[in-house]
Amino acid sequence: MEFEWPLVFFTVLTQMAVGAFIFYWWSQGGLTAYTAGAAGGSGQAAGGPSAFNGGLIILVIVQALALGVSLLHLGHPLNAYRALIHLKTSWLSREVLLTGFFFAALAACNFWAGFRRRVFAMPLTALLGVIAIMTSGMIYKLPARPAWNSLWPMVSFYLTAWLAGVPLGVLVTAREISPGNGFRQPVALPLAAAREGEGNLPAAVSGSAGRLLLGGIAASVVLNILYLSTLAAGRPEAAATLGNILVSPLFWLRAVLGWLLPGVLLLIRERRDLRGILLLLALVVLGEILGRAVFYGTVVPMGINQGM
Amino acid sequence: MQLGFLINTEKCIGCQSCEMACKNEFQTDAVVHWRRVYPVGEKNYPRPERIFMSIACNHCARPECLRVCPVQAYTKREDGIVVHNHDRCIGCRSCVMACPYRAPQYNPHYRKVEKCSLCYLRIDQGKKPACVDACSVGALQLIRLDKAAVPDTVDRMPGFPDPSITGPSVRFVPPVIGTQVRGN
Repeated sequence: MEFEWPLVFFTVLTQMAVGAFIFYWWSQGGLTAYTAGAAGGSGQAAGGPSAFNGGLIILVIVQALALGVSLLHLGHPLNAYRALIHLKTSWLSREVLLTGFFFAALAACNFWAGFRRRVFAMPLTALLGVIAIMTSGMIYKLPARPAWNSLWPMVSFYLTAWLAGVPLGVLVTAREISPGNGFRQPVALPLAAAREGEGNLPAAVSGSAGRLLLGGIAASVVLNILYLSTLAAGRPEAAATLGNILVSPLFWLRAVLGWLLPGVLLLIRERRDLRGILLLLALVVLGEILGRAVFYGTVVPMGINQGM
Repeated sequence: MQLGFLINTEKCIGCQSCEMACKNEFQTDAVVHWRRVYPVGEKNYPRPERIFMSIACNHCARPECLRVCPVQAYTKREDGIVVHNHDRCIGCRSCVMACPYRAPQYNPHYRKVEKCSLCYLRIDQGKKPACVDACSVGALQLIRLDKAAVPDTVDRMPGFPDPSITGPSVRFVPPVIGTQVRGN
């Protein structure tokens, strides 16, 4: 089994950064920037965080790390730039381009503040992130790998963005709220509490991030069960992949660390403290990393006499 | 024009001369096998038969390797041969994942992928590919697939991945399965 660790970390970190950014954008009002306040003009007067106030730097670092790790997958990392030349048919070329665009837009968000950031930079960055994940998922839609030859890789990548993105997004948002205080300032999973006193909390954010994460875990479990059942009914290579997954200790470890424990923690009580959020983030990210290693390590490709 | 291989399973005795000729011609590393001889499982036929398939790159009509390669290391010549440019390759292994026949193989020594080139340099000189030349029983032949259908051949064998995916340029002369005339 080849677990493709550089790809595991590249994909999980990128999807986590995209998910966290979208959460952060949503917490800042999301598309409401177009309806409320946008007409107020440009510049800082429109409200919202100022440039370089902390939170987004975390995501820039995470994404830079992801891009750096991805090079380790290549036999010749210094020639990675060449991967941009086959945009016509290669989803890998498209992934490299879109992930690069997402990183550039993410970094650019740090330079802008107020109106320009909320109305232009942040929606664009979110859109690029969503498309980057789509291109990433399409790479694995290969007839030669029946277990992957569907929209499942893309769906599972979006699930990772959801699961790992929410707790990281909470940390990013919390750091933006209290710049200079680092994470010492208590943060709360129901964002309404975290943003108390600011008075400008968009209605869309008043929902609980905890419930969002719990919903993500439930969606991940249900969709994974559906996926595994389709493997059982699929081609011999797909059925062999299912067998590999079910006997993999990493899969069951992922089920406990990435689904069961965070789910129980969220159900027992609301995680308002920094320690609780960091614990959830660590569990969910570890679960997604193990899940991605299972994704790469258990797939049975087509081949001569394979599946006979 | 589309060149391809004809594999006569009635003639092939599994001697692996084709594999060795390929390794000698290109001095490939021990870990890569541009051509391999595979046994066909006996259970696929009503009577026990020892059958072999000698498979290399199939120089497909719709090569997946060419589609997914991000650096355009693959090109398809006018004669249908799919050529891999070793200098362009960055070792991303996308083609390794995409090929149903596992023709492109990663060589950890060069940290690049390599595969059968159908000996296009020999073909350009009017010679046969090294594997075809080395087959002592005439089981492996070079054929043109763009003309009328090759008679008495099939495009699939038990254990050979679905040819509808990439349109492999390979045809098989299927084995003649004898009938049992004497009871046990």
